[in-house]
Amino acid sequence: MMHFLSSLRLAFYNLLALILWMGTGVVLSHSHEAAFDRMNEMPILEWMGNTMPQSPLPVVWFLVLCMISLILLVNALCCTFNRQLVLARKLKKGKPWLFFILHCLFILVLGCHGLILVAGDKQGRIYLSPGMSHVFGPYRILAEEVVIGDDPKLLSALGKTQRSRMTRDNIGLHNNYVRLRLFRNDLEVADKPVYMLSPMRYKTLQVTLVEFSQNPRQLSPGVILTITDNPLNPVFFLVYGIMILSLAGFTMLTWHQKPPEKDIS
Amino acid sequence: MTPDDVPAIVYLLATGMVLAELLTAFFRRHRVAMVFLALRTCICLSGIGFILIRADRPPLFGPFEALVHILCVMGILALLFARQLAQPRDFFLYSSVCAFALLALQWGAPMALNNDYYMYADITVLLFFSLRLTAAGIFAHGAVQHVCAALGKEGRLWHDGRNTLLAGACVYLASEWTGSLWCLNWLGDSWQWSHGFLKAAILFLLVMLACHLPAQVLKQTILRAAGGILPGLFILWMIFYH
Repeated sequence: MMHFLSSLRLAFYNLLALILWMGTGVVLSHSHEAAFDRMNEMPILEWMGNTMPQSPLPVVWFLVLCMISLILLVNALCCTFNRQLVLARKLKKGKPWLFFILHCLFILVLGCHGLILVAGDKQGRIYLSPGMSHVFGPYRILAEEVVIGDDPKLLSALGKTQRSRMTRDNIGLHNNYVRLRLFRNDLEVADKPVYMLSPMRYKTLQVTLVEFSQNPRQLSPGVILTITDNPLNPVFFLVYGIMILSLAGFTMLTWHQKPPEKDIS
Repeated sequence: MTPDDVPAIVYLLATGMVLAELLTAFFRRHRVAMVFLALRTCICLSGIGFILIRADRPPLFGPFEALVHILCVMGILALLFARQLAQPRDFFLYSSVCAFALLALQWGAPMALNNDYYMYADITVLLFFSLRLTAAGIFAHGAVQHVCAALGKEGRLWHDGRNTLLAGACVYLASEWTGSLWCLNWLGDSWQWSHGFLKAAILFLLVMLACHLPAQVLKQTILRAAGGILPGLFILWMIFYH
């Protein structure tokens, strides 16, 4: 069993299945666009519960994707610790060890991808105009003021023509912002202007300005925010970065060497 | 001639050089083919220079910008690589066929600078697109190496192709890393469920697939070559038709 679980053949067919399944996902993301969009606005378990009754196909697709990814994770774990570690110990050379570390890092990145899905909390597309506040767990986020230095019509643009006018000349990243005040258990912990691409961060909490918006019932412009609380993000970026460096190191070390046919093509 | 005409001129000149390269490679004039390859690369470099001066940023998106960047990377890699080959004829031939196919497929596409989207003011956005184009050039070069390996007799080409794939994977992952940072700052998550994300993941999986071919697949030249060609084809499709 262990021999099969750690085999290259399983990795190959599993990767092939994952590619085909993700290709199916590309097609589904077009036919079930709304369901896929909602996936980004709430924790995944909540999304599954909400989406299953109305649109079961994306949920089934997602569950099968998780299953294939889990097999890949098990395969990578078995191969890494059952084969590569044994080989690295036996050969006592740098390259097999780097190969082993590279796979460990890949497992960590894959694990982080999975954990980020279920860990933490998230609320997407929160509309706030000046004076409005929103409660997120122990936090309360208050929009103090919305400052728009550029043409407001461009900032809430949707169509392709308007988007093409959203150039660096017409819109400055720091010309438009929302001043947010963050309270934790009614105690103010942060007060700062939040720009596009410059979110507010406090511990593991992130408040991101997604877009400016004009609510028809409000006179002044408002903002659409996404609030996330995910402690795994820094770990993910760190491990991901180290994995890229390890892959670069491994590529350089094996540049002039013909590797065994079984491992690397 | 106005600056707006420059992209079309660069495109036509590059096409002319690739055609000359193709003909000279076909008639086994390797050195002349190499000169045309160098000229094509210089023309693409000048296209990149034009974008840098005119738009105050590197090439990022759209038919013209993507073409000059990808062809430039392919050209530089081909120049470095062809010198190491004992029989570079096939390599020149397939490399110029690939470059010509790219140029021909973009025939009629608007040859102009892409709209200067306001998010291009952010370094992570610049790096994401720029590194992705660089990776596309590297994967396309790797695809040519795999075609040569499958059709030619130089055994070392398999290993060269594998090296190129891994180097391309490093650059591509670096692009995805900066893209994740962009996504985190823009939408609040390091990645988002979308067809773009799924396609990006498929590309990485294709590279992984090429690096995890079992012995019985490795023995079949066509399948082995397909493994090395697919990432190049897929990323080019993603960039030009996404």
